[in-house]
Amino acid sequence: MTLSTSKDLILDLKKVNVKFKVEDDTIHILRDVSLSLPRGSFLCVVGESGCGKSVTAQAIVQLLPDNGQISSGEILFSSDNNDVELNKLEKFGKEMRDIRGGKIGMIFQDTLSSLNPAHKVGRQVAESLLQHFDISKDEARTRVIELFRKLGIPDPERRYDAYPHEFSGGMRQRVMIAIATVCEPDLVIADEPTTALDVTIQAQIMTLLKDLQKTAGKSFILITHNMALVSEVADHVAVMYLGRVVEYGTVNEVLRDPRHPYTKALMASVPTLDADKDVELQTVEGQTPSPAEVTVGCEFAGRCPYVIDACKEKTIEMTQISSSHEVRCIRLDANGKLPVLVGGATNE
Amino acid sequence: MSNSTTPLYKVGQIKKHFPVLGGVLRRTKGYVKALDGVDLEVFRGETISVIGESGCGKTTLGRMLALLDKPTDGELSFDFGNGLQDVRSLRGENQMKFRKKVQMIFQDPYTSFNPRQRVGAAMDEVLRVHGVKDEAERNARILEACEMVNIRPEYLQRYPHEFSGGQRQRLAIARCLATKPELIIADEIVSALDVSIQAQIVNLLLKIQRETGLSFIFVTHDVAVARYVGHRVAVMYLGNVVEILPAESLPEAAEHPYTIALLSAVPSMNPKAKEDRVALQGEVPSPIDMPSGCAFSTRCPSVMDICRTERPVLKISNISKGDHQVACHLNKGA
Repeated sequence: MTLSTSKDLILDLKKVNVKFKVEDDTIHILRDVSLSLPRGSFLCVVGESGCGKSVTAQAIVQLLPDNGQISSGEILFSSDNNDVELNKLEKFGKEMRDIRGGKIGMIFQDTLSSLNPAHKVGRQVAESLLQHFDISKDEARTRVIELFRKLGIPDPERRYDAYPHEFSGGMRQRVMIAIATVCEPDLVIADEPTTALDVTIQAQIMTLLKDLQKTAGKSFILITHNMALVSEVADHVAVMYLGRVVEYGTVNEVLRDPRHPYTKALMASVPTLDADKDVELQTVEGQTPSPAEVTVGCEFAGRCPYVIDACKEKTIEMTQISSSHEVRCIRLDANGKLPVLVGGATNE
Repeated sequence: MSNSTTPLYKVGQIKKHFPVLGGVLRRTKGYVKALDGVDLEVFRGETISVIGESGCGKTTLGRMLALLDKPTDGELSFDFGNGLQDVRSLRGENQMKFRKKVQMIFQDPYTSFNPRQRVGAAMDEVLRVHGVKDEAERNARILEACEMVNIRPEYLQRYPHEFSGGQRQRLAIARCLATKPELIIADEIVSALDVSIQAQIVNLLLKIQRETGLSFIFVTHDVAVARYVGHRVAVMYLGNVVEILPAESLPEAAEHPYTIALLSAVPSMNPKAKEDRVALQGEVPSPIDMPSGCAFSTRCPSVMDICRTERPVLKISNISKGDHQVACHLNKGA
């Protein structure tokens, strides 16, 4: 059960399954999700709405909604040469509370609802420090102001005593980053942190996160749907579709040379600044099915241009196409290439 | 695309100032200058993409063009077929005639339909309001519009919650098309959709435009989508259009320092783009206390003395000329 045996991993998810109870039904939301994160690296989890990327983040820190449950699998987290199995810990027990916020920091998308509007922001950041360390309030204040300064919040002494509504979206996201990093966690999980922000502010925030990775050696999991953003910040990329990781590898492997039909389609459907305006954007036929609809076979089979009967018969396993690149598709040949589509079978 | 010489819709020095109330007596303390003198000409068959960051006034501009808000000052004239005619003074039936020609689609397809009305009935209502009295004709128009957006006719009997976001957005487009408008103002219509669905809607819009020759104002914050969809791109900053240029000339031809910074902030698959990034410092100033002179002067990397005192106006670019206009003191005009 040690993570440090082969590679220095900080987090290792092994075949994690999450099920949600909805009325009388049980819906299978995460399906055998396996992810491993080397210490100090930046992992991006991409996919469209409903693919389970946020649930993965919630499962790691045990913050699943009340009707959700990890039904099987292991989540191993390694910190201070000590491996813990997060899924075995009690949800609100002391150990889990020490890890959550202390060893694993979290940043969420909606800053206005994650911050308490009735408390001064400085105090909300300091709260986390006081929770995890035995220090005085004055010392906490000094450390928070220091961090605000590092994160580029102007006039930090005064801003410590400001309320969330007095901050702009970009500044509030900096406060969220402060809350997530003030306890010097080893791992930071950021769930769509810049989706609600303008691109110029997004660029500032991403530079900040990247600096934290490079200078403080922190590991990151960034959950996003923006492929171009991924290509700028990620070391590793996991592409998810309907609760399953369909492709995993380094950023160069997955984005420059995507192999899974879904990854390919996802990349081709985003217009870029140098796109040829006369070429139609590639679309994926249909829409993502509900997780209750697909029970056997490949989850993408219903929309895939490469589909054959075998795709729908049994669960598709990951195929290793290089030491770091895995793809969940049976249509790849021995060289890991998809067959060439002949007329009519393309997505129109 | 300015092949015809007279525009379909002309916007001249349009201003919208929202009062800021304060104190016990709710007196006006100041104004939010959401639009501060915007000039724009929309030609037939043309798509203008309007881009800019939140708070730059792009949505207000769209609402103003659709007459959903009254401008504080400025000119709005529309060509009903016999030359440009002022639309700000239109009332009653004449205003309805304008609304039929200029339709709007909103960002959130979940809230732009009545949840208790079948979508077919919602579309029928629009046509009845616009005076299509004959039921057979209404049905024919609805079916035609549905065919254009690939919605099966039997779906019209369903309620809005039975559709996915992408389908609902297509229905909203169909509802608009049924009145046979000449200009559609689309405000962030793909922003809430997943990328694969976004691509379907973008392709659909382009197809509709090819087939019908409609004009579009496409308001978005996504620069790449704006460039892909539009013939021309208008860049807004703090209530002003700072640059208008042909879409295909982006990103290379951009001249305004703000456009350049905005483009370079867009994440890119191209590793070189990151190296050339212009990092903008600070944030957009509040539209209540606008900087004097050029609105961008507080953040501009190439700011000069004149920028702080004198507001630059849109002038034809002295570099690329033609269709390209820039409001910047660096541009000396053609």
